[in-house]
Amino acid sequence: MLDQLNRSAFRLPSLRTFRSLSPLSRREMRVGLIFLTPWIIGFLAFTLLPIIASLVFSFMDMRITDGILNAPQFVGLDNYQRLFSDPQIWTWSSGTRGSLWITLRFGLFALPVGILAPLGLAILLNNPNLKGTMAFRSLFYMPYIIPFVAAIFLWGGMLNPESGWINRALVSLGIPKESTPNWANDINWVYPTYVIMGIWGIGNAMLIMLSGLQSVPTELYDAAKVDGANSWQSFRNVTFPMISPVIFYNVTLSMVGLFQYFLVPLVVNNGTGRPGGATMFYNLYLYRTFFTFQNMSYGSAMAWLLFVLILIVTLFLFGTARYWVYYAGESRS
Amino acid sequence: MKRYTYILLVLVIASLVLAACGGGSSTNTTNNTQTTTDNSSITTDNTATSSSSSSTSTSSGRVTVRWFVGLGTGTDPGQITVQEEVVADFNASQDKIELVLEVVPYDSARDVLSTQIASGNGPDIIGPVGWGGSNAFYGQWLDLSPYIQSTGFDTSVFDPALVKFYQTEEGQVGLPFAVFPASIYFVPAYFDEVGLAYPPQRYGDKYELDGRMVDWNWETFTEVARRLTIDANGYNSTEPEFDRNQIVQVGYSPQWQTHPNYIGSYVAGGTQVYSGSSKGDYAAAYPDSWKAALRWYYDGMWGDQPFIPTGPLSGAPEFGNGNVFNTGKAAMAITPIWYTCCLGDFKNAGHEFQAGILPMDANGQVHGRVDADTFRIWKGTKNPAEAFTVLSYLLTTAADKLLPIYGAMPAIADKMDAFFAVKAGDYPFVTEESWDVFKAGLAYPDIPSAEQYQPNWNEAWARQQTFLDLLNNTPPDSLDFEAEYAKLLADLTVIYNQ
Amino acid sequence: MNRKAWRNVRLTMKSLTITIFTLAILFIFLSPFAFMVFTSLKTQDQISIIGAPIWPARPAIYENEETGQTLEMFTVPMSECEGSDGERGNQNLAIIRKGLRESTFIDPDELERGEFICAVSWRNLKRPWQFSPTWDNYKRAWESIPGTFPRVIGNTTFYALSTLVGTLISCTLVAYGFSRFRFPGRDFLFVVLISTIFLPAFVTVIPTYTFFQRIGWVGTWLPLIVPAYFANAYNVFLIRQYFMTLPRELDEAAMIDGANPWQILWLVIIPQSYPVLLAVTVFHIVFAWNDFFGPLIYLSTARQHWPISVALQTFNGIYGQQPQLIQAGSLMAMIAPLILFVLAQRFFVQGIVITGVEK
Repeated sequence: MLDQLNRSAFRLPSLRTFRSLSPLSRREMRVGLIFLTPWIIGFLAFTLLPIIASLVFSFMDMRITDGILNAPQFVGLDNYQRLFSDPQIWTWSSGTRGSLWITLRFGLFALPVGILAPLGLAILLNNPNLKGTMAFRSLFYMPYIIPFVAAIFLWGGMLNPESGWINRALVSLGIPKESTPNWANDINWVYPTYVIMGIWGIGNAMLIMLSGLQSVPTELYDAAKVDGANSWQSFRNVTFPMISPVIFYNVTLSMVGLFQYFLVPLVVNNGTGRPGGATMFYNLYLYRTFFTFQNMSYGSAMAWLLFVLILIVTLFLFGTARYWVYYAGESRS
Repeated sequence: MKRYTYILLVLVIASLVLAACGGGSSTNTTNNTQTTTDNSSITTDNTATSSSSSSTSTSSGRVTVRWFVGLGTGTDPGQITVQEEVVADFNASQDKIELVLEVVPYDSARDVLSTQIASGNGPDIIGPVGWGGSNAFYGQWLDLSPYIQSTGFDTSVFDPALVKFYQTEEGQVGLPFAVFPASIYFVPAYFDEVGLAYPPQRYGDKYELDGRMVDWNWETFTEVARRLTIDANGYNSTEPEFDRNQIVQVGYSPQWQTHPNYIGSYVAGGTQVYSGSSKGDYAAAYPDSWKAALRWYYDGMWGDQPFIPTGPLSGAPEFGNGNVFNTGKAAMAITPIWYTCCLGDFKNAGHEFQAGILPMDANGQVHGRVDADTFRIWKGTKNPAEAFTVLSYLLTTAADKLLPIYGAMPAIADKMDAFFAVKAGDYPFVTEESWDVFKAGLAYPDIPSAEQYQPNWNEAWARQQTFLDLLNNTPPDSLDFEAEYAKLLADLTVIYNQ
Repeated sequence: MNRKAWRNVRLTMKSLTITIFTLAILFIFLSPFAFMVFTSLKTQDQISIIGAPIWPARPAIYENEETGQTLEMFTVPMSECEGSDGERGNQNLAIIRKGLRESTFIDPDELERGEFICAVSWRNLKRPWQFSPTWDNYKRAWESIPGTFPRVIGNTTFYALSTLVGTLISCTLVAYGFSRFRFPGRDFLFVVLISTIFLPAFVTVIPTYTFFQRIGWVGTWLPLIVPAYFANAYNVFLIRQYFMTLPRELDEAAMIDGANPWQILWLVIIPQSYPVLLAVTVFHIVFAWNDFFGPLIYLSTARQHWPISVALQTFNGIYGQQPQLIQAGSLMAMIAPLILFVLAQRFFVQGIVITGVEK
């Protein structure tokens, strides 16, 4: 399926292809490109150079540590050599896994939750029988607005094994204090804890899902009803196809976000990887290399590996899209 | 629909105008309540400032010197205000230099400074910064010797030993500003409650325990700390009824001195933590006495008779999110005098503290710690002479204002009395004898410092920190101390040689 | 009962069930928010008392009118006290002397009884708590934030709105280009666009900072605002996805009527896209409101421009963290985006209704 994708649109437009177009297509291309200009200008002016610079860094020894920065050197593939033999990234023995596997494992576990929870909530909040939808929407969105520095203390207060609200609630439900979870300090609980924290921040994804749901024309539901569809069938045949583009968006961005997951383990577990190295996510290790260890060059090499991995998964996702994402605007043959 | 189109159109035009005018003037537009007429002029000044590293002077003909605060203390709102006053005073005192204060919240300061230095746009002056913060940017500091000579700056106001601390192979990269000797902070009321004598207040004195005079060593300290670790039912940790799940008061909190190098230095004495002299033959070199100290620390948290708060306990809001002594839940803390900067909540809650001497080791030797903060000049500065002028101002004239807000004991002996007068005003209940304990602590510096240079400092320090974090948060049933310790040393050796 | 009335009852029941169900979820969902509110109303004192209630309160105090002495109150099981004579139940007593396993109390309601000893551990006793919110935290956060609070909020609003306009316009245009025109290389360009978010943002921060520093923008708003006018991957992708769901019949009809691409975008596409534009508006405002690292590095010499996200961090210093001020400040900071959120909802919902009529 990938080569199909390549053939259709992934070729760079050359002058030759442009000439081979019909006048109408040429016009379409010209107008289309005009609409893209804001991004193209911005990309060339602000984005491209830093990206190239980070690629160049990855072939250098550029560290602030010990004054190496004052005389940066080209070191060829040294950083990449280290990258592909770094046990912190690749270790696959039992016990502490490498950062890459930690990231992938958590991602496979968190991605479905990150899609289904906001979808379910959006469907609930879009229900015509629900009273006060506006208020509900605002309130469910609210946790997402909480400033970061406040959230740090907040999660400390909620999850603390000694006196956190969650464990207090469990104790008051009759669970003995000794057997309440240690949450972020327990190797078995730490990933569920992160997922729970993530659910609190689904306001954004919920809103996207809602905007998708609101765009489904009611005539389609009426038609499905006339055809005798039950609610699951009408979800399956009407709602899902109609909102599949926004689901696709959420899946893609969640995937990127999970590959780049680092802020929560950095703050909640001090970025030390505890318990037992289980939270040393790839991007956290990258962040620490980059800023805490001030090794910008090795950090850049790590970042480019991440770039390639995300690119591969993204292309794969885009390849699958034609089997399950329905674009009404593309239905013209 | 039309109406919304118009609204949208107006918004677009308005915002385009706003964006075109840049920040300053538009701040005035959006911010009706706070229309400051000089706002836009400040902005232009700052625009000039930022480009000044290439042109180095503002429109007013002054050379801009940036003062970066954030690697240590100095970022609290109250401290910012005082620092702003210092900047204003300095700018009013002469017309050659425009000093600009740059404050970055502590959590992000290293990231920001890394970015600026790597971009070649580092600040001219950085501080207050301690040994650790300085070593994190080892190789970035300017040798001050030529400027000391050319300006005739009088270094004899400082203790020569202190001046020597700042000499590295790169030259005289700093001058003393503030010193922070350590001591035991203790709460007399908790000692009274359990009927224990207070820690001694003169180095060399003994301690009375159960009617016998004993050495004030770590063993005695541990016993005292255990008897001061109390559970909800009033039992201490040496009693069989003690319930470790209901600790309400701990005997000892290593208040923010939670790093293997601190613990090793206090308990077993300062030592060089690596061996070798060049990349390739560096190796981790923690002495066995440090390993024993770390063991002691671990047992203090997770052993049968705990007296140190574990990670989860000290992280609880009730225990101050780590600031345990400040909440009045620790009978003793060991930490440098900078901790007196921030015991306001402790005082307001009606608690009182005094200072006691540090325990000695089995050989009768006391190992203290002396932190030291100063201001440093970035090697890449475009205006080293002007930066040195500012530096000497901060070290001398401005010190009177800055030292008290930093909780910093002056490196200049003449300023000592004034400092302790301010402190006595802040904490009227602290006795003269207690303040003398701090002064006496100056005689027990950690040499080399716990925050000493080690190759690849940041990564090594972080690896050591990770080890302590592991100890803090892992109960014995899931921790193999020996294996983790061996792994720490192995990892450190790799890091040193990278 | 006729069928119509029966149907009404069923509808009401349905709506009641679903509303209660949603409320239950909301209750759990908002507990972190309750944590914020409660913390913001507590004194540092209360935060550090073990076993204190989660709501803002202060322990009851007994004040002796004659001596002016204030004593802490505890709830004591009377059976443990001397001279109790089989007394049962708990009583609120004032503590005179604290001891490990027995303490001395007086009974404020029965002063003539004098001091007596109870064999209880005072640390383990419950205290009579009085509901006592401390509004002082709001005042202190308001006053001690660097700059003044209105100014900090003004800065943040300015940042959010000035970048919002650019984001909305540029992202809509680019998304239109990516969704309604076909040409060779379009999907390639689209993947290039998406790939700009694959590198973690902090990796490119040094070269980006260097670039803005060289052109003299560091210390001003420009590096934060100008790029917003040149589209970003997140929002273009989202709007494009939405545009792709819109059927082309209306476009084609308009084209036959002689409308040019701009008119089609303005008159046909945008009126159908309010929900997604609302989403982008809200995201962007929240993003700008909480954006921390960008303003921090570009405005570090320009404290008078600090937005709220940076200013709040100063309550989180190296030696002194003040959770109650952070929470109070954060709550005040959240008011504006919340109001905007509610307003935006109204604005766009109305928009949908109106377009519906025009159609």
